Amino acid sequence: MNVFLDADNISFSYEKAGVNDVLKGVSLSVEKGEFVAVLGHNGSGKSTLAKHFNAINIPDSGSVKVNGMDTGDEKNLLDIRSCTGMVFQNPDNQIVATIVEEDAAFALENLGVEPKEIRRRVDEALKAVDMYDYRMYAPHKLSGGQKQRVAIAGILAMDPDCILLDEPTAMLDPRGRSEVMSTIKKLNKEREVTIVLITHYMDEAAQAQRVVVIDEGEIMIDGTPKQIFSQVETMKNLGLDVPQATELAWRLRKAGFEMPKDILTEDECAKAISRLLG
Amino acid sequence: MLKDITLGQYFPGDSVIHKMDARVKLLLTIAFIIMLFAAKNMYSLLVGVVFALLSFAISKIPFSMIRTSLKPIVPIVIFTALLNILFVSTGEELFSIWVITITDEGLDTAVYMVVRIVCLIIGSSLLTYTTSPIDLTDAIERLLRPLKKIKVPVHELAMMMTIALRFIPTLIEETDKIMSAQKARGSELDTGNLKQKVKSMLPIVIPLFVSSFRRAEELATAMECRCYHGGEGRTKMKQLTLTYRDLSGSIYTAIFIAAVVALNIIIK
Amino acid sequence: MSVIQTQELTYIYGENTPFKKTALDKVSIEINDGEIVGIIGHTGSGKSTLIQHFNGLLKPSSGKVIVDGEDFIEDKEKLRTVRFKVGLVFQYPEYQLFEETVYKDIGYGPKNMGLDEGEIDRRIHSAAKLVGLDEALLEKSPFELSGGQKRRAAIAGVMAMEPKVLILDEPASGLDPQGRDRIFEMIKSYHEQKKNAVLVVSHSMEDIAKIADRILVMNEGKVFCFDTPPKVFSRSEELEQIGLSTPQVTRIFRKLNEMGYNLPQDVYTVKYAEKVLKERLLEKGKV
Repeated sequence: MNVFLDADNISFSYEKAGVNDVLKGVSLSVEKGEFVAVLGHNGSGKSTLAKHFNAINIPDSGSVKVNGMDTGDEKNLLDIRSCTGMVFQNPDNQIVATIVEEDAAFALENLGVEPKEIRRRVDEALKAVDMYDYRMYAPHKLSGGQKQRVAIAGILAMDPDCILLDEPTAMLDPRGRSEVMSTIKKLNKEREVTIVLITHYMDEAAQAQRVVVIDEGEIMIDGTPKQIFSQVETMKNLGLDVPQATELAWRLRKAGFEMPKDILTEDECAKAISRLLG
Repeated sequence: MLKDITLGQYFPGDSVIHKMDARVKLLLTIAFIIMLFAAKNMYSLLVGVVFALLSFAISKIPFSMIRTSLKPIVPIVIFTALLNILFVSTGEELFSIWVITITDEGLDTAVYMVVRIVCLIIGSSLLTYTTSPIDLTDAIERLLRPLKKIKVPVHELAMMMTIALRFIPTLIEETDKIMSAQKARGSELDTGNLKQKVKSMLPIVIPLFVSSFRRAEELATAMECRCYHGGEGRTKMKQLTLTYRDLSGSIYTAIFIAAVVALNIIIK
Repeated sequence: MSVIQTQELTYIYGENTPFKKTALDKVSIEINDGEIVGIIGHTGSGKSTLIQHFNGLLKPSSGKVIVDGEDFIEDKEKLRTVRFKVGLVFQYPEYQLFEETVYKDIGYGPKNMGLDEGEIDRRIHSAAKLVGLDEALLEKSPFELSGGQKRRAAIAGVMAMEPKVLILDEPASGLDPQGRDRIFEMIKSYHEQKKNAVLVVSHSMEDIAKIADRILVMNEGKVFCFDTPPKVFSRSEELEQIGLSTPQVTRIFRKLNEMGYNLPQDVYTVKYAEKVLKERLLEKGKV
């Protein structure tokens, strides 16, 4: 398989190497086209890790490679950033221009792409996130979910192989959250964009192919959503949650009823209970 | 409420004036201002007035917007008029009371000044009404590009303007929120003497500063992530290109300027 | 006894402009002293506009708001006392911190109330305790605290005014699961100690379900329903139709009922679901 993001035993501190390390020897590789969710409570180091994949943070020790390029090498900077885009939590603080389409064009303008080509890719990116009809809007007239999709379009226009999203739904209402989630899933499925989604929401993580749990700067668990969420006690000890369907199944199992361990969705849970009820 | 203030007074439209190149519009506006001050007599000044009103009509911006844009400068207009009426003492005396003498020339200059200022406002607001802030910034950046040679950071200045325009509405909303939050904690914003008033602004100004710094930091990171590395090697999606519209706009303005000059020469 | 009452409360944004929008449309509700009310509705449903009427930040376009038996809107003096009677914690309240120390920041509200030093000091300490903020943090700058601590310090600033009604707008937004739980536990213990009315606005039905005695559902400026959680959640399908998400267990139970199991419709917490299912399974002797 094709490894796209590769962190090899990295440590990082915002102060001095070795003092209050936020990441303590993390190794993680993500393959091309994968959809990985990263869970962990506030201050666990998950955002810091994501910033390593965009060469915003450079590890104190260990190495990070993006599509084979070392992030420590200044020369690779633009190439790395144009193949892995990053979307942040606050939609207001990542939109630069006063008009939606101008913002979507920002990255391509920075890269010195031909004007005609920019136009084509901006239109395509805005269509991909369903914001084409809003291309002439001022960003402050949009809802949170719409702004976040504009931010995604701004990244998408670079035609990246990978998008890192740092809690993109944390400040949105349920409607905005589902808009953003379905956009992310669509990009992963239809355009095979590698997705790294940092989130607090268990239901979002449950939609990924793989979940990585970080705590205190170390990777604690790494597996499929089913493998991860079946460890209800471990998750709770790490200050995280599991979907209600999983929790209900777990409680019934604890009470001595026969329930499968890997229940994740409503359907699975309802079916298992129905089998129990006979 | 603060939110109700309209900013970046751009009225999207599809008139010829809207579609003209922002650089040309900017230069023509400057030409118009020169035209106004070059007009030496009533007739040539009238040409300027006609030019302003006609352009406004072509832009299809409602005429009521003229009133809106003039409102804030009414005190300046009145002040200028009074200054001219009261202090110009040359010319024939019309009447005098106590130490005040009003002359025909004074009255004349006053009228000229008022007409000029009003036309100036109409002209420049037409520019902002028909040009999006981003196009205008762009135009300024391009027109000032030669200054780069003498180390003026033209691109950086233009970027600053864009970001400021982008964040004004966001920060207005934020100020509104912080004000409500502090009011809910019983702060009284508009009572007491000056010192108390300044002090009562702190609960609003400090959080606003803190949040602006945070926003600036986040925006800088986000811009870096999108490969921003200064103006070097940057392209633009929207090329400003000159079309026949810009040509006809320039011709139209040139004819009016010629009329002003002609009238200046013929009628003394 | 009702502590807040609205009568045909209507609020129109931007009246006399082309952007005119009716944010609240003849809302008549009554909130009782001592209860916890959850307020739910999607963005633009009018819930934020509604709570800003309760402490006089907004004035009704028509209709009445009566707090603690008083109609305060026209009376400037009363308006001020109402601000202190109804404490309003905005969304992301940590962004309103401004003083040099946490201690002073919590004391800002009480100071505005004109209380004496001793009383202010007592209230600061008691509020810090209510939100679980360590005494040692009081002398720190609020900007040195962690995200969760900042949030709690800001909430303490409103609690220190000892309002009769405490309103919190999205108190847990942006926090991780542990942070969310902590905030809701804090609200619960505040309520147990003070026995005052608490209003919590949230998008999350699951969070609201855990603490509310009654739930007010707003939709398009109108009261959609205002009832106890079981009654509200028994209408889960309608709630989804107006764009609200219901707890996952509620949907699981709906599925089971569609399959023909005659289970209660009003299940909305995992604990309750577990209890119901256990009982049913025990009846059938399936241990």
